[in-house]
Amino acid sequence: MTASTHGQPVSERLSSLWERPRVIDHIFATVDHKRLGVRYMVTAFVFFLVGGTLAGMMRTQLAVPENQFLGPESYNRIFTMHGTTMIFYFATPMLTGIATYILPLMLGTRDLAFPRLNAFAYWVFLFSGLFIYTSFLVDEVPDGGWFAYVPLTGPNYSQGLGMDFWTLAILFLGISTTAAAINFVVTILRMRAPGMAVQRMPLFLWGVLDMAFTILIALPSLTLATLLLALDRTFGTHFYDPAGGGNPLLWQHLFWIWGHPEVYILLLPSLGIISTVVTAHARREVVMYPLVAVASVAIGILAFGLWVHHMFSTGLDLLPISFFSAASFTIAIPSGISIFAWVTTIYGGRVRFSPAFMFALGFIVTFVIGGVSGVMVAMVPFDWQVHDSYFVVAHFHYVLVGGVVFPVFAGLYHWFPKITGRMTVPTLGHGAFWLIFLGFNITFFPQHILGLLGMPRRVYTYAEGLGWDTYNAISTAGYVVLGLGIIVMVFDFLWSMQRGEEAGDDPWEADSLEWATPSPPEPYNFAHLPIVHSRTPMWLDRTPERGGQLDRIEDPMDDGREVVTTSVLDAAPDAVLRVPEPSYVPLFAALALTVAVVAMLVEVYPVSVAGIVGLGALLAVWLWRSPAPAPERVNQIRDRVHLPDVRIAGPHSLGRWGMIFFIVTEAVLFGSLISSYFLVRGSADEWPLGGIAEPELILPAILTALIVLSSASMFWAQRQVEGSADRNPPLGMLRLALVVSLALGIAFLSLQAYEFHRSEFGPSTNAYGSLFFMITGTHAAHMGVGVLLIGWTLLRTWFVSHEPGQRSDVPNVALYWHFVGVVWLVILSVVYLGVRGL
Amino acid sequence: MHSMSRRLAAVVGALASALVPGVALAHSAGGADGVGVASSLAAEGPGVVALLAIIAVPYVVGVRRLWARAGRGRGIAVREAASYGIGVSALALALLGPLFVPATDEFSGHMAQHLLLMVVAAPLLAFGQPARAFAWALRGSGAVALHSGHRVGRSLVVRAMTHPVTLLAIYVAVVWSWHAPALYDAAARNEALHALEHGMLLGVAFAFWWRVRTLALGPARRQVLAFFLLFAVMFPELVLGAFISFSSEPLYEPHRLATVARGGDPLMDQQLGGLAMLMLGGLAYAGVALAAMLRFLSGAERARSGAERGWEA
Repeated sequence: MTASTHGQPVSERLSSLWERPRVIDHIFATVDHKRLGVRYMVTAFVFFLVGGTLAGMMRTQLAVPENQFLGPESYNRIFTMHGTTMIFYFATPMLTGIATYILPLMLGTRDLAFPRLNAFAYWVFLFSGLFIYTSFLVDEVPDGGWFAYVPLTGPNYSQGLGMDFWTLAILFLGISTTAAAINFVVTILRMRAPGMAVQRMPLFLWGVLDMAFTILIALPSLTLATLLLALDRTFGTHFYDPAGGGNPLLWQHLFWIWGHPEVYILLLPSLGIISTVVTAHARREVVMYPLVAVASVAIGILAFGLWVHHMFSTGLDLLPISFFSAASFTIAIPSGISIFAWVTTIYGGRVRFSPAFMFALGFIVTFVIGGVSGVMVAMVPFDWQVHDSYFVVAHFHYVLVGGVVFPVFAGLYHWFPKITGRMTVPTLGHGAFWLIFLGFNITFFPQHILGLLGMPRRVYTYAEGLGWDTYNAISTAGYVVLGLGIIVMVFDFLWSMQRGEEAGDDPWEADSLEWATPSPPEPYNFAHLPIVHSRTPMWLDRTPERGGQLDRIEDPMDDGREVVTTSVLDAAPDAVLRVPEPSYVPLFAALALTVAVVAMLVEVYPVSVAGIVGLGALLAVWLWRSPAPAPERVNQIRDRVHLPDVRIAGPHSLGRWGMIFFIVTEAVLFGSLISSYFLVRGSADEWPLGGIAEPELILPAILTALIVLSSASMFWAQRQVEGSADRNPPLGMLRLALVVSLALGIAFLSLQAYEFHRSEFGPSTNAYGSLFFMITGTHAAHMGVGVLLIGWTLLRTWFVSHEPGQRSDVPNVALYWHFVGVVWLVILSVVYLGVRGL
Repeated sequence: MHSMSRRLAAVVGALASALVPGVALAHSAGGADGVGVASSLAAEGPGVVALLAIIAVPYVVGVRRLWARAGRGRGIAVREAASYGIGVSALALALLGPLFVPATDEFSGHMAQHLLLMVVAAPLLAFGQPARAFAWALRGSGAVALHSGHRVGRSLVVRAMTHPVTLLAIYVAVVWSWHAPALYDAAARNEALHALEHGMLLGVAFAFWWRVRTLALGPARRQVLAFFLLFAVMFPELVLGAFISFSSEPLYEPHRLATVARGGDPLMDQQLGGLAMLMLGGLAYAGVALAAMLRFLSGAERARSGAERGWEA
């Protein structure tokens, strides 16, 4: 390797840049995707073991009829926490963890696009998990089922703190999941190795990209659903309360509009893992690459047209549900394409029957069975027969264990040597696989039969002599075998971590870039960032002309924590930028949020507000300074990176993208809110409900004028900055524009506060009042954030100096402000104008 | 291939003339049920024929001139001309054809008509390069006007208006507004409003697809936007379709009256219409985006060399 310009070997120089010497910094301030990825995986695996233990308690209870091991109350709590844990705290974070670890390595870069956001997302996930499990300590455990149907979970039928723990924990966790999704999207779109055009993206990256997009579009629906439930429970609103004009079916629509895509959110990266494992262990590229990649996108899209198939038995009309039944069958097409592609690849490959590969095979078998029972329950008459029976339990365990857990285990076995530097013990791995595979099938296959025999799900016990005894006993025995398999696997991991054989860089002779690094990788991943010329760079790029090595950027890029960004489709390098240093701010921000959430639970609202204010202050600090390259470095880097057309960019090029995808997910949130308004309105006899007068229009007209003017002045501010690529913007003009926007924004908020104050109805009057205040209030909250952002930007004009063309705060804040303005126009037409007989 | 343009012109002409009797028929059929909805719809007939002529004739003239000068298939490809021809036919089919009769009293028929306008006719017309053909048809002063229009296209306002996000917002606003019961009912009772409804739907859909096409043919960083635009427009369509199909009561008074008068089930009719929008409408956008994506990914080798020539020595 070449020597750095800094007079020390490149590896030493990079290590000192990318890693802090103090242990305490590693623990609390790290932003290294590898450390955070491992933390995600370990934390999620602990939740898996806890959720699995809960499952064991249920299987023990159901092993024999009329068992007294668990009472009905404990049983309700346990199945609720089992489902919640496995979906929210194991499956999603585990896949997030694998992606966090692997993504930058596979992309040939040094970290994710937003490393501090990544740390923040991890801490929020951890604290949310700890938060929901403290419910066991105070004996107020959620017991309304993992999908928390109203009215059972509403204020009238679910007293105590249990479901409050649930709603707050899910809201809290949503922040983490959204942050991770934005991070993944921007990283995959903008930080691929030069030359890794979309046509060359490994299928795993397609899977993660599709997952992240699906999260951004689906998750707001769950966020809204739980937020409305929390408000119904705590503040007496009537969103789901038919007595107050609300609609309980709204919960099911909102929940499943997220819930069905959630299955694919988990499945898509899992399919990507399978493609990775099949490629490496069948030693052959997956056939029909374009079709498999497009199939993955198609699954993500179809996901949004299927939610109603969870609601066949809710009394919806037959014609619509028949269509949704037909639509549900179509998902078999892209899944089938993928399955056939893998089978064909394996058939023509030189297969290495490693434990990772065995789990991939196990996935194919199990997932196909789950798919077949899925086609069965997609048929409306069949679904009516087996709905809420053990057939459905069997079906979704085949889909989720087969489609997610097996791929996750395949991935863990596949990447274990990369992460730890050591090989697992093949005998133990195979033993674990067979125990898990057989144990799983013994546990869940009989549950199909139990369902057909009429055993309902979520019952804590059953009478003798219904023909269910034997199957339940077999199922519990299967659990024991499955559990043994997990124990063997954990033992294998723990033992191999210490004493396994040295793995070397590339033990599988695999195709993708993560295997070009040492095992475990250095803190900076690549001393020289790779350039990619094919879909399988480790196989095809290391030609004799390149001396058997990957093509690399000559410059070690060690003037700071530097990475290259590339264009979205072609991955042509377009900028060099610096990623942030380790920081304690993400941890403190997550703690502030935790304080706010806990205070909300115990209804000490001043503390909640303090927590939110603290969070805001920390975020202002977080975003205050951007690690742009120092001026004197700029030309130096430009000369030394031997790639034409590369600009030196501040973080704004990525920040802009992050803002755009944040706005996408916010737009979906408002869309869901407006849709909820229409749904409740559609089921009401009169509108507004309860003789409330239609809103008058003078005040909204003034509000609209204010918001349009403020958008115009923000646009003016933007022009000051954007017209100045090679000089500093005229600060006086910029400040004036910002002050005007700020004043208009504050005027808007004050006027709206006045409107709220003199209103004759409140959020708890009836469902109309709830929706009116929810929609305008959510918008006002966004306005408030916007006002703070403008004020923050204004402050920065005095305290933070920017290089010409580097001022990114104004355009980003302006983008957010315009978005909030457009949302107001929608609210104006729906809530104020549209209420008049439209 | 050689006689393509002539045949095309013949087909368009024949379709237009063959459908004129259909208009009269629809008119009488519509008037017969006495609800008073159909008559207003049917009166559109002559105007539609005129509109079709305005859309089709200059195009045929322009293409013939262009091809006479530059050679067949040059400037405007044969498949682009064919696409435009099919688009005009779809328009005729939607506004004058068999769908027209059910559209006057059935909601589902009317939705099929809208789908034909927005996801069949509009993209086919947009794909046919009408601006170029019309410039050739007008020549002289007209072409100059179009050319200056091209320059206007670079101004800030026009750029803002044709920005993909703006077009998306306008598209969604127009589609949602015209399906709001009050506006919809008003349009069904007033022929001028109804013509405006169809004109606006066709207009925004044409603008949308035209933008998708220009983005898809543009530089790589713009192509991504074409995909996002197609995916983004799908979701509001899905939600609107879901509302209409899950509504527990008939939303559109004229169709309710007409269907009840025929002894049909108005709710089922409405559900069918909503589902057509949800499934076929949603599917059309996703299908186009996925097909384009498949084609893009399959062209790996070509793109590879092209991509790298840009930045690699």
